Amino acid sequence: MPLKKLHPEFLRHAEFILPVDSGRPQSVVIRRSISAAYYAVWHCVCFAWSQKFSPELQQMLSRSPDHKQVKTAAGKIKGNKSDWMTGDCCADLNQMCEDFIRLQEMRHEADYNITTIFQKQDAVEALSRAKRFIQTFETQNRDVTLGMDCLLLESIGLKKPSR
Amino acid sequence: MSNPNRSQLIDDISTALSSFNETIRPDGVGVRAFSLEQDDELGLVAKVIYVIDDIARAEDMNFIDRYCGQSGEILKDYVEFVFCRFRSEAEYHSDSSDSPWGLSLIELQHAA
Repeated sequence: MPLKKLHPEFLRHAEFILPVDSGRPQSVVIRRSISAAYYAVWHCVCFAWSQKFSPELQQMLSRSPDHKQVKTAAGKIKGNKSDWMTGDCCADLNQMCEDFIRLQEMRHEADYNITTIFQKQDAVEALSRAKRFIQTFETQNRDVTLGMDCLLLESIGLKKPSR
Repeated sequence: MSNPNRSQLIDDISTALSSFNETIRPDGVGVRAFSLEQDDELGLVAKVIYVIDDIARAEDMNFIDRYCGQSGEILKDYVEFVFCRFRSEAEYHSDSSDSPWGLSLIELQHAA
């Protein structure tokens, strides 16, 4: 089955549960919003991956990416250490990789580390990073599309063939 | 801190961030504390805590990018990656006092 885009729904949810007034939201609301912001970006990555395959295979393959491996790949792309990159990482791609890494760290803390204290601006930051990542992805800019391909190839551990 | 290399690293980072504070203090922002953690994928990461005069400024991504980017640049020879948190004075004190999170922080001397 062709894969439905889930990332817009996660993004809307992350924003919806965060109150717009200046009051301090409950800790659980902040944590859930951060988590949803990360998952918006995560499902965007999974969507990008699934689009490389025929519609019949997309849903089955959409869960193939691994969180840790994509984070490691993002670090390599950002640091120009990926063999797949044919030139320097462009500014937009660099920002996407940085946003992904930061969001995954925030989500990990939000979901698993009960000693970390979050404030509302942390959730606002997570939401802004997720929006920026997805907006950049959806521009379909040539450099970004190529960079996302490199990120996905790097994340599955495929070695670049020597000529 | 029994590891002398770690102690030296903490000293070096403290010095670098204290010097950085001198340049940004007029902007109403300063690094108050940091922690060091080993990340399985990224390597050594620093978590830098900024205290700012008006916490609403931390809702602006340009503000976050500017200061987080600057601390990342300053610490690039010491750690693989820098994560940032932005707090008001009151939030910093309530977050860090007597909490496990607060105990993991290394406070800068003479921080604003």
